[in-house]
Amino acid sequence: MKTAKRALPFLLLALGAGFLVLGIFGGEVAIVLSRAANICLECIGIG
Amino acid sequence: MAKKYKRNKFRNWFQGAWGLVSNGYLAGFVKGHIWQGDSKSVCVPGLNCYSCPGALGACPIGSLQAELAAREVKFPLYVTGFLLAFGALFGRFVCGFLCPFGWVQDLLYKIPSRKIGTFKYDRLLRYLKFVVLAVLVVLLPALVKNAAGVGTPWFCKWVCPSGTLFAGIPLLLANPTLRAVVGFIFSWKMAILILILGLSVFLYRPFCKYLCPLGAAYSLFNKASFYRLKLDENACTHCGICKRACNMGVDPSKTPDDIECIRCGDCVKNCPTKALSAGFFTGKRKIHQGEDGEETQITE
Repeated sequence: MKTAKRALPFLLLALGAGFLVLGIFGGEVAIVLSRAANICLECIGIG
Repeated sequence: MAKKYKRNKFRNWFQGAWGLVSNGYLAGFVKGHIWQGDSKSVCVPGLNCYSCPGALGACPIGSLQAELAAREVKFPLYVTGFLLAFGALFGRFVCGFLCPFGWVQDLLYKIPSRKIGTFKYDRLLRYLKFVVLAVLVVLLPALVKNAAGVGTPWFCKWVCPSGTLFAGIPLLLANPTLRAVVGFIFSWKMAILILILGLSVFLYRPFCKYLCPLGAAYSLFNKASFYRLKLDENACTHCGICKRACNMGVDPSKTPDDIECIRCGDCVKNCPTKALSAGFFTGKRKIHQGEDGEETQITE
């Protein structure tokens, strides 16, 4: 039980890194960039 | 008169410095436009609107909604990856040290006034942030789409006070074209912002406690992140000082991994027996030496 608890942050970090890599290869970076690099009218209360 | 507790002053300076670094494109505030470099594809840990003129990175909550609202994304792996990584490393340490809107609320709470510690539905209302995360950030952007199959960032559009403060106001001040098209939604969001900023003078971090979807997401990692609060049960005298010093209403002597703990470190600073410590723990055993010279092992 204690070993599992100690391993959990490592597992979550590895899972996060895995998701990031899959997201990068899946072309999701462009979606985030296109959204973040243009003024988001909804965010500023116009859209 | 209420007792004054020691506060971690370094944290305020660190939060301010981090806010400046992550919003370092200062020309944007003058020219009324935003940074458009490639760094915008990388999520920052805190609730930092990517339409803030100075923002160099992307807000994870805005990006998550953007991915869920996009026609071509089935599951937002990229932003979920950031949230998992930040959560595993820091948990709600992000709220305490790396969130610019948390910093603003912290500063407002320093204004001398009568403070509200807790109230009848305080604990119950804290679950509202999970509803905000589930409904406004995940479900509505993913499920409600227009004819072209594109959704709306509901949280950004209708709630986010951080976006209004750090993006809406500076952009409208500096950009007359945007100023000409403001309407009801901006007034609505301004009302939310004013309400939250006003409440922050009397109540510690009301947005973080009750509404922030990012805080809700990171709170799920508090029991499993590298950055943790540790209690040495042998040194703890259960005097209750840590509980009274905590502005988030946590009792670290009972639940050091409480989902509401933002890892501000005030309990550590005020503990008279040094029973509490904070840092990156990996499960390695530490030896604590008491005043009588007796050694105690602190383990997970």
